[in-house]
Amino acid sequence: MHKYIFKRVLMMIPVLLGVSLIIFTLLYITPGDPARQILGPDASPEAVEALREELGLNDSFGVRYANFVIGALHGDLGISYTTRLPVATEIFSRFPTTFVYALLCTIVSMIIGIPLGIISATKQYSIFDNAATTFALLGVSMPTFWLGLMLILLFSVRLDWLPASGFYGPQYWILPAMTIGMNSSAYIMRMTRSSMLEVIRQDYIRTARAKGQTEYKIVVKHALKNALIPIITVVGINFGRSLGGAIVTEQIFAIPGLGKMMVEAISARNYPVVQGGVLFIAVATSVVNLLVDILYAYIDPRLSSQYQSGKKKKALQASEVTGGTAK
Amino acid sequence: MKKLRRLLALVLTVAMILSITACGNGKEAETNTASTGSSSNADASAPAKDTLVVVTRSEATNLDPHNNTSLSSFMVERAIYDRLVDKDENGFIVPCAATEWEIVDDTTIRFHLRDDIYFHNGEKLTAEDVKYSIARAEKEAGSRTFFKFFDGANTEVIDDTTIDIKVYEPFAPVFNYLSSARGSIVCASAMESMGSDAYGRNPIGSGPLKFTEWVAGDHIELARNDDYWGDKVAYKDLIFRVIGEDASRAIELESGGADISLYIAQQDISSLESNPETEVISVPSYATVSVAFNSVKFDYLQDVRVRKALAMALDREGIVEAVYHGSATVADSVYSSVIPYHTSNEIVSYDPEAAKALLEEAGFDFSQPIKLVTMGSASAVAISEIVQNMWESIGLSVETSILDWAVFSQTMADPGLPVIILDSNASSGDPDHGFYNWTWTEAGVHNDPLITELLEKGKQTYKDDDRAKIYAELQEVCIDYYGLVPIAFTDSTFGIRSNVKGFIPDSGNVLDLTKIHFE
Repeated sequence: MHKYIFKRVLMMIPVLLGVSLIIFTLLYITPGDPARQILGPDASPEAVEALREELGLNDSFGVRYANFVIGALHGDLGISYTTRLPVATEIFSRFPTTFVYALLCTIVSMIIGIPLGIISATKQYSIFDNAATTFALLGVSMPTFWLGLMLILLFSVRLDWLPASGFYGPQYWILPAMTIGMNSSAYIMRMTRSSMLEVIRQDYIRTARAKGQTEYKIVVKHALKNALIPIITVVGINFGRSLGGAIVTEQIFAIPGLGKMMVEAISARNYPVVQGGVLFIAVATSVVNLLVDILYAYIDPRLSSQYQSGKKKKALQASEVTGGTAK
Repeated sequence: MKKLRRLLALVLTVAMILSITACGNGKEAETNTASTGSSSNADASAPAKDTLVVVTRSEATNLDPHNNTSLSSFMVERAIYDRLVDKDENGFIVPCAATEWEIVDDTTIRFHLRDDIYFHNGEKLTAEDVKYSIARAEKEAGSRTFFKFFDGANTEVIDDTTIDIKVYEPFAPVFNYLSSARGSIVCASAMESMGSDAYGRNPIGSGPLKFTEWVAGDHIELARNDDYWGDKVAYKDLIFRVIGEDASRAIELESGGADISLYIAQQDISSLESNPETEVISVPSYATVSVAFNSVKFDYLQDVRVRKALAMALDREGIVEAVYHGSATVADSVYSSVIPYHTSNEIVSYDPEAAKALLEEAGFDFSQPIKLVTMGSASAVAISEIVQNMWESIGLSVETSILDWAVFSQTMADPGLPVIILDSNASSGDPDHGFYNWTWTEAGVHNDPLITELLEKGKQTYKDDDRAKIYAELQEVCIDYYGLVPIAFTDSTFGIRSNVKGFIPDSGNVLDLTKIHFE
């Protein structure tokens, strides 16, 4: 297992190098001069040239990329052009907000999505199944900016129960989390439903029923546990995606997260913030993916046996043949 | 072993959740004032409100008054810093840090300062700080365009409360520029020891409110300066929040989370007006929207008849009506009607047939594509589409493109942009500032010696009557030159809660928030 994790961490290196090279190249070929942007359109060409020199924008592509990579390896992502603060400071001042937000959205989507999926799978073609499937269709189809505004109008303006925007405490978290939660819960619900339907038809479920197991235990212990892998994959992907910031909802609810920071940085040609931000998001996504993979092993013993080192694996296989550890 | 590991995982998960909640609680405590702000609104009998929440469209870039060009920064700076002079709500220059002043000669103005002004760090404000600020404003990137006429090096400190400010040549806008945010007085010793970047994030002024906190991307918080020499503000805290989305900015006001919202969009006005708890206040702004021709760099725009014909082909009333639905008036001069010495001018009327004839007379090549460029604002894009249609209807070929500011400013410098939709806000309200587009080399609006001469004369003339005459003539000359076609004078639209009193709308969108109190 440790070896597997170590291997996965090593594999992150080429991924991050690739991501940084792509974002660096994209910014390099994007029109717009940061120096002119900072100084304004009526600055003299000499002043612009001097600032370009100071910011190192006149160096060749290779030199600039190398400087960026060497800096990043030392934990130095550069200085933001607009605020003059270190990029790492900027990112970490926004990250807690984004992290809390991503976590909330994931929790909400799981709380709604998984039970709905289970019920509609166990009661397939019932009224409830139809209702839940319709809900899923609605959740996927409703654009988040529209849903967000509608929720604000209802809960903040009409009912005056919840604050409309900002991110200062639990009461502020509810509406944004519901907006994204509704959307991604629909995916989770559909995944849970189809995965459960597949498992429910398996022989061992029938066996469990035959031996008189309670329905609750059959669903939760026998069926759900075996249907979890694809569900966790979807949840993991959603969480990883949310860590990059939810641009639209952050805009509507005025949440000072990474997404908002990135959008502003891109339009200001604030290269260091864009590069640092993308790199950070890449790291975060890779780590989440790794965690999800490790989680698979906990849920599914068959997978964990594959992670074992060669020697152990052989021993295990041998014992499986003899039926030693078969459950 | 397995159990142990599971237990460890559980413990770690709980620890993580706890730390996150702790994080959240800390945040909540910090910004408690913001949430009490909204809840006390819901309950009319709550104790007197003492936090003013103002919502703007974009975040301040920094609060170093000489190193930014952001209107959001200006508004915060207006509360934190003192200036030598201020402008009252009618546009008259009134004392601030200076009690009185006299014009010694054409290039020297003597200011007498108050003796009881202290910076928020406890240091006394002296004439040395004023000299330092002027000299700095002359050099730094954000203020240089306006303060390059000040002679910081020769500005002379007579004693602690007397200073002779020098300008290189007679310069009439001097009081307007000194009263703008760029004229803020910074603490010389603090600026020297902190450096510009740190000072810009933790500004030290001497104004009625002092800086307390800046949460990046979210809000800036100021607190009342209880030792202020002048009228103290009626509330305790002032919070500037940033909400980029138009609809959310209006809703935040309706729900009571904000007391004042800037840049209320057209589509949100009716719902705010129909709500008894909110009001909409509109005033003509300093901004002018125009279609500008770069006749300096582009040969096909050099003939004045071509520019006039292009202007004649535009139904300006129709454009203003369609794009602004009543939140702007049809422009009758090159700068807004609320800027001094504005005169109403006859601008060529809509006549597509005559426009076509005039183009033919000028020998214009109708196959020459006209490149029309805008920046991303919704109204500018709408205007450019209408302009394109109107010009194409008389047989011209028009190519439009939308550029973001970064590309726009770069392309404008090199290789240049032929026709652009300009939305320019002369935030200081000075007529010289109003002619900014005509002095903007990259825009290439004119290369007419008469215009250049009148611009210089206007700048150098102190006497009101003479200045009025010069600017009246200049407006006429500029209109006839067709360097640009003014289209609309837009309004500044603010939304406020009904319990907000003492609100003074500002044509430049840089509000003075120090007079506000709650009912």
